[in-house]
Amino acid sequence: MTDFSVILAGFSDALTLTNMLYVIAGVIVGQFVGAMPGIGPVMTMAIAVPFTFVLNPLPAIGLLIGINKGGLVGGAIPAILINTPGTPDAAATAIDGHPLSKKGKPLKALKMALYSSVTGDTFSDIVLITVAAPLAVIALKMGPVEVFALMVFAFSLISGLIGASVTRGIIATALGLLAATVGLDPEHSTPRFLFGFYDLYDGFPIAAVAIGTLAFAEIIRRLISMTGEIRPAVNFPKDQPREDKRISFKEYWSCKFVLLRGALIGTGIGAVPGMGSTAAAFMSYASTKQSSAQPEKFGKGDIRGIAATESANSSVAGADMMPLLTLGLPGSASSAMLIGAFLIQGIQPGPLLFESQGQLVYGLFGAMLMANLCNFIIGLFGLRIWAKLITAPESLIFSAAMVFCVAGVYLATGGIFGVYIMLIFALIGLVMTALNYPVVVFIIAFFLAPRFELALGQSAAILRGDPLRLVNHPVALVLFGMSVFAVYWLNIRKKNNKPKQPKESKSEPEFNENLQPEEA
Amino acid sequence: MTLERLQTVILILGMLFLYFVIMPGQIDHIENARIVPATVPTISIWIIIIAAVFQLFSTKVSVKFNPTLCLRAAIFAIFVITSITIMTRFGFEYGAPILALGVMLGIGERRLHWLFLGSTVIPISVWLLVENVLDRVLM
Repeated sequence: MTDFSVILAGFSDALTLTNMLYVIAGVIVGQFVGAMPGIGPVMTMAIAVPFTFVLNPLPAIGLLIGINKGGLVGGAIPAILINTPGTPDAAATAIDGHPLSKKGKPLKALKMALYSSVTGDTFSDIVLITVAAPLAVIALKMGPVEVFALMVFAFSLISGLIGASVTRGIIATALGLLAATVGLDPEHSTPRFLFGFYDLYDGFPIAAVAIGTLAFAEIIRRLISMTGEIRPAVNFPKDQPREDKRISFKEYWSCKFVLLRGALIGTGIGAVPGMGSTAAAFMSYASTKQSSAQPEKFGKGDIRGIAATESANSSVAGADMMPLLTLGLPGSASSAMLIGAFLIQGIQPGPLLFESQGQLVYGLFGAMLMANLCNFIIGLFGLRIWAKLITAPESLIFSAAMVFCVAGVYLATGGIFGVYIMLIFALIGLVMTALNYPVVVFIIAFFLAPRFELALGQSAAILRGDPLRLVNHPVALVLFGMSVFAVYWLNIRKKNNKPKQPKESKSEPEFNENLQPEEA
Repeated sequence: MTLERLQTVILILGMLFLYFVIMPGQIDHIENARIVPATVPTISIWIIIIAAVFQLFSTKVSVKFNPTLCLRAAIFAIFVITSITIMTRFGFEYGAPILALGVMLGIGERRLHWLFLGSTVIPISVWLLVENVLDRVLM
């Protein structure tokens, strides 16, 4: 177990002025981009990753975590005010948030969303802090065969849960693994798929691939489908009674069980790679409505509806870090970005992280808790500002994002070659999105591929090439069995669910950062 | 044949081409090893082929082709590549404003103050930040 002094040192690292400023900056940027429909925290994290290159690991990851958490709060603002979720996970918030806003109580709705979001997020962070270290100890007992089996299981879950169909998820995973084989083979150090480009010796640059597929492709996709329409201005009603502008402690406390249920659902779902915060939000909303004595009030501006969705979608953020930090397996687009940032810093997330970089991990936990506090304070004072900024022209936002993408990739890869790689992966991302292949699955597989190949090599050596020797590794055997079952079951489930799919989830909103207004 | 089936067939043919034509020339052949350089690419390619064949006969997902969007995407792609070429030839400070201005005009922005902010202030600020504050060379 980690020494207590390391835990204290980590938390005190998080409280240094530099780290605090980066977390605050991240939260401000996150709330802003969350409030801007079409940008979203994942795209911003992708753009920010190369700029974190010059920072130390803690402020770098702290900045990205701030962006992610800020985005969760910011996403609810346009959902409530203009019925257009800033982030996909805020889609469920619009169900009760927008009607409450239309009743002339936009600030009440926004504040309930803020309080619920911070509550859910803090809950899952505390669960993460308490559970992560013991989980990492268990994970450390796993050998290469078990690690390989676990990766196969994670791939099968992610392939099955994200995207239009299981086969598409599997194809995206294999494409990610294939793309990562470019460069030197880790076992024999022989070049693969270089095509005469010696810049590819180290493989495709992580920053170029991440920005190309997740940010640049998304910007182009948005640009080509843009209608040039200007969003309506948002004005808060003046001379409102005080109770219509605030959430009293009594009102907040009346939602305690709703908040707790949402946080539990979000934490549970977040811990499973691939489930996503949108699913958590809708699930929490449905269960709250179902268990309510007055379900007819939902959808008409009930604060419990906002509390249920916001506490659930925000609590996914902390829980999402569990598989990332303890097993090195990212389960969502935002954690894929974080693993990219870790790798750029030369750090391999996984169970060993707690031993080798314990201080950094606890610094990270400190930064997460601090980000929640910042989210609360900045959100409280910034709600009116963000509400004004959501009317800023998309032309400005997207042109600036493009410039940042080019500059960021050039800096991270040290040359124009990386920029061209980014363009190629933007094209790949565009084609994949157009053909309904989940880009997030592709990127997660790409990031995990080096570990996958290493674990495969080690497993082959341990098993001496004989799969029958797997009987000596019961955990791995169970995980392989679960992988097969997961693919089979998720395939059947997807087929059965298809006709009943709600309108909101038609185009895999969990990972498509940019919901079109009509989907809200 | 629907577009969905057509794209799946293209994917299968592409993977077969990669496996039989490209891979032998791009990956060294190593013997007497359990895991060779071609192992993971081979596994990946065959997973894609098997999944794609399954998809060909079972999928109900429909893919729509929108020629207008494809044309716009192609125009954007050509414009972006041209702007980046200008950046490499003449420098970021000249290419980035052209890129930003083209994007803004392309999506219908005509308000001068936003055009000035997006195409001049932001790219030049990025350039100044990187070259003078971070002390890094930007193209």
